[in-house]
Amino acid sequence: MKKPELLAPAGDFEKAQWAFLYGADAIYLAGPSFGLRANAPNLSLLEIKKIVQIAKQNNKKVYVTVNIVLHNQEAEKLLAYLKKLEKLQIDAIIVSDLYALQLAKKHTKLKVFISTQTSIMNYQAILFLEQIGADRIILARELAKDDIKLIKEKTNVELETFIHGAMCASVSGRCVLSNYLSNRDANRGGCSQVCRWNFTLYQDNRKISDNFAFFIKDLIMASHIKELMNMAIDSFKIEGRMRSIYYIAVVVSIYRQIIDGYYLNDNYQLNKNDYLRLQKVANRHACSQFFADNDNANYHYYNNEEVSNQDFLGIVIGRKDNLIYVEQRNRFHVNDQVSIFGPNTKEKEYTIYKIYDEKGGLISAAAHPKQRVYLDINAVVEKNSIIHKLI
Amino acid sequence: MKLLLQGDNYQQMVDNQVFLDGFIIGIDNLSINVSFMCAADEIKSFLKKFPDKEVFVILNKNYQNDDLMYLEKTLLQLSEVRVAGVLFYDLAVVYLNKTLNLNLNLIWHAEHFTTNHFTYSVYNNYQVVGMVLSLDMHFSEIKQISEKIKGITMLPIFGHYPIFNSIRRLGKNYFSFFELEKSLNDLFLQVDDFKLPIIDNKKGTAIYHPYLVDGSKIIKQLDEIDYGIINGYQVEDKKLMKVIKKIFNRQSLSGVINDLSENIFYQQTTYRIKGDDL
Repeated sequence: MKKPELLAPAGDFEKAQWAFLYGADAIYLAGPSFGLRANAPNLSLLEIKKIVQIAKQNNKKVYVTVNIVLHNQEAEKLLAYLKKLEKLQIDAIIVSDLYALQLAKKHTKLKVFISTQTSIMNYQAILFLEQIGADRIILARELAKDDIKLIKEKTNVELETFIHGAMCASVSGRCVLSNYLSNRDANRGGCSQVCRWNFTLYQDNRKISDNFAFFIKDLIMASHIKELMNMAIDSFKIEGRMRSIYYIAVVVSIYRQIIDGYYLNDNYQLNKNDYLRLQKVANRHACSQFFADNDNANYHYYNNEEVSNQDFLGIVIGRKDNLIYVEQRNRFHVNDQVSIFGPNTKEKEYTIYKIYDEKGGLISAAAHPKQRVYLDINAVVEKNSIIHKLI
Repeated sequence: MKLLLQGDNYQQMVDNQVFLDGFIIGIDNLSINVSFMCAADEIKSFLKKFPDKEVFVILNKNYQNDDLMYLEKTLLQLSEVRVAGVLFYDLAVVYLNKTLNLNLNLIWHAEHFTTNHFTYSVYNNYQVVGMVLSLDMHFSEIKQISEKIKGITMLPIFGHYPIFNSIRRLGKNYFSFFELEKSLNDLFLQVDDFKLPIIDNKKGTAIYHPYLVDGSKIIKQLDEIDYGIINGYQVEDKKLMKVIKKIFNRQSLSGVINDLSENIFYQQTTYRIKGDDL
């Protein structure tokens, strides 16, 4: 069985570091321009340089998205940007536009991956892209298991598939609702997620609903990882450049365990609590979408069922004597039972016996955002561990 | 600029043919957002009905593996008859045209991607001979591209414009979840003052721009574009006749039909290439 790459999102420099820390083999990020998540902080070219250095020291990879749909004004400036990226020694670019592919292949040595924005759903489209030099195809998210299997059998290029994260309501690249309802270009980084709005729905001139919505559940492929590994898919992608470091730590670490588990042991069993944790971490329900079933109402969550997740309690930032030094993220109290996991340590349950403020005074709770406190939990935990509520 | 009709029905084509240079028709199961479709083996008899017209076929669906055999069969049939060209979205069409040496006139019609002439040049290396310019850009960009392209250019100049496509059944799923026994006809979304038509059928869901695209005032300035596309979809036949006659005579459509907008040609979304700090 081939071990796939675990590819994590990096919305900014800090998230890039966390993704590597928690086990990603590679990260994808946007630089200052040409990326489809213009609203994320993204990374400056200097930050990309730094994260590439970190990646190389740890035998990991960095891919940069250059995946907007080009208008003339951008196309004219693209080559200069690609050359800058090449100097930074990134491992690949991700593009939607074939002009970007051609420029990169003709004028640089950059590897080129084809974005899911091109909504590639069949093997003949992939064979064409292979012929013109694409190094990897990121498959559309509407594919069933048998589709992916056949594509793998019929093609030679690397394949990447999403395993977790948000889904579009539309076929990728075929939605410009944002352009016309909020003047923000969906295909040039400005998507305002109109598909998560509520609408009033009419039939003829009769109102049917004040709360018509598309709301698509997230994707979760945790229970299908073995099937994807058996197909020898090259890279498993986690969506989420706009998500928190908590999301990254939880999702990356759990999928890391699952992939490593199946790689070493064909009979590996997915931990039920891990699956629940993956379901909870993103505030909205998730399912395996088209992989195992046709389109149906169960792919949606209606009535605005997003529930704010306050499971994330804090980050371990150090130690002092036998106390752990923590930066708070949500309120917690003395006697709370919590779970802690780290970059190299599995989840374990603890009780918070005492909380001290930074001056050493005993307090009953860590109540303020990013408050720094010392915890007596009668254990040693590693730096950059995550503290969260029990599942 | 020649005029092509993507008709809602056969009668629209018959009634208006004197003002038109040709038609765009779909193929069952290989086209979306098109009302008038036929099977691939019916194309020959359709062409016989309009011997002096240019007939283009639109194959604009995203194809899955299951579609490929029928797509290949269709392209082979099209190559044997006198179609003027094939408007395509999926790269499988380019692959098959090249691999099977079909020499079809392929026109790139990935409606939200056809926004610059550089990318067209890449496709042109692979036997693509034209492009349908996207409406997701400003008039000045349309003009610039049309002047630079070496190939067939087309532009939608009237009709409903799709701004969202999904293979999901968004209306059907919603009604199913809430156990509402409703038909899927005549649905629209109200967003502020806008009414966006939704079409939900076995091919998925499409949402359309709230207004009918009105290019009647700008086409004189875009006469270098080879073809203007008039989309008769969901337009009453009698009104469409008036529209086509006005466009043929290069006259304004004001007062002919409601819910028109030429603003789509002047919309400019914000985008800025940021500087670097290295």
